[in-house]
Amino acid sequence: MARASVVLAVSLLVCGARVSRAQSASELLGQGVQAYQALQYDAAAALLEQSLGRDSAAGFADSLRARVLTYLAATELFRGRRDSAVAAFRQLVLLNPRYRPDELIFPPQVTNLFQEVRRATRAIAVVVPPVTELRARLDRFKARVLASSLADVTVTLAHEDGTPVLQLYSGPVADSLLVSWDGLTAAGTPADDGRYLLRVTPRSPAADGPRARQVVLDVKQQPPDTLPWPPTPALLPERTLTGPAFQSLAAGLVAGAAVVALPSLMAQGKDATGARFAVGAAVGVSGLVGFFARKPRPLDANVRANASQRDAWKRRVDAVKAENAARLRTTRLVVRAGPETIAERGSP
Amino acid sequence: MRRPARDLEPGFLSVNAIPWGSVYLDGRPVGNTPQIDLQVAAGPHRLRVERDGYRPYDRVIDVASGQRLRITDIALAER
Repeated sequence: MARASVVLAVSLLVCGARVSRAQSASELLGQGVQAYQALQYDAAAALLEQSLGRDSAAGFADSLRARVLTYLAATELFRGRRDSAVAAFRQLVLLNPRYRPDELIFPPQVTNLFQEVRRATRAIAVVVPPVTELRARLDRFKARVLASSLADVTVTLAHEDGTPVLQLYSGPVADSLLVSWDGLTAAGTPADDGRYLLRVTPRSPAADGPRARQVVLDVKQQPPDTLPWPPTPALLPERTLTGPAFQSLAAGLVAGAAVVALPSLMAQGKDATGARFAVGAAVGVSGLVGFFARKPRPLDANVRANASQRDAWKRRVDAVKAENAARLRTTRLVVRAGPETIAERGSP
Repeated sequence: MRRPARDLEPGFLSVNAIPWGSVYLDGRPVGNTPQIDLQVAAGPHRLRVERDGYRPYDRVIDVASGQRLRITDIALAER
């Protein structure tokens, strides 16, 4: 118990530290922007550099990191450090090849330098949704490949150990390209559970060319949801009740027995005569006649109504059966994507 | 006794705006924002910052001799 408390306290401290560091990075960015706007470029550069330093520790979102780099590049340009501005813009292009500085905020001398750097910096990136659920073969997992300038790339899916699974695309990317995967392997079967690498690689790797990018995909098959069986219909009685027939039979038999037995019980010593037996038998027979006369009869209208209900229910059952069979044939996949990273040369 | 204007040291004007705009000083274009330490003669000047689609910033400013005047909080409003 005490150990658990200590672990919890340490976790809270670590989480708290991360949050405050993230806030500090944002605050530094805000202060850096203010200093930039006030033309205090030395202060702005220092604040933005600090923000980037905190950023790597706190895990800034890429959009905020791009903002810091843009202001830093503009700051460096205006304080006469063009090379530093180029370096910051180069980082920005590598971070997100499609990013463009806001042309409302940054004047042409900044945006023109950015375009110059963008043209000179060949970068590719791949953007995927964090979680995708798809029915193998029917739906698509979509990845967007981005390029800072025209690039020839190959997009592949491989197992974590590098064993190829499928080539998704091979060709040029001018600005961006949507690549989709139907969840099947090259053999046409749904991908098994496991970790895969979605990799975008330049077709002609060069020292100054774009670096390959990859995203780890955790693929998990999920059993499909099947439909429940339809409830059985409430049917109408198809025959009349058996109760009245048995009541007639019972009444006849009891009355017949009473005719035979009651006089002997009421008047001791008197033997039953043949006439009493005859009357008793007649009463009993009348009970039998009543039984057969009132025996259950089929109710034709109800029989017809039930038949139509049964047919409809059977059709519903068949439809559910067919739908469930189709669902069971279709494998559902859940694809969870990790962060995009640079695929080092020689990595699997 | 006050020295004649031509003998006064110039002042320096820095201008910035959001969004960025074209800067005019006494009706003469001097470039886009930001403008840093623009040398101006001491005395009154008409400062104008304009951009298509936005209402211009138009003020008469007085720059003292040797003064470094910074006007960096200009926010151009959309028309």
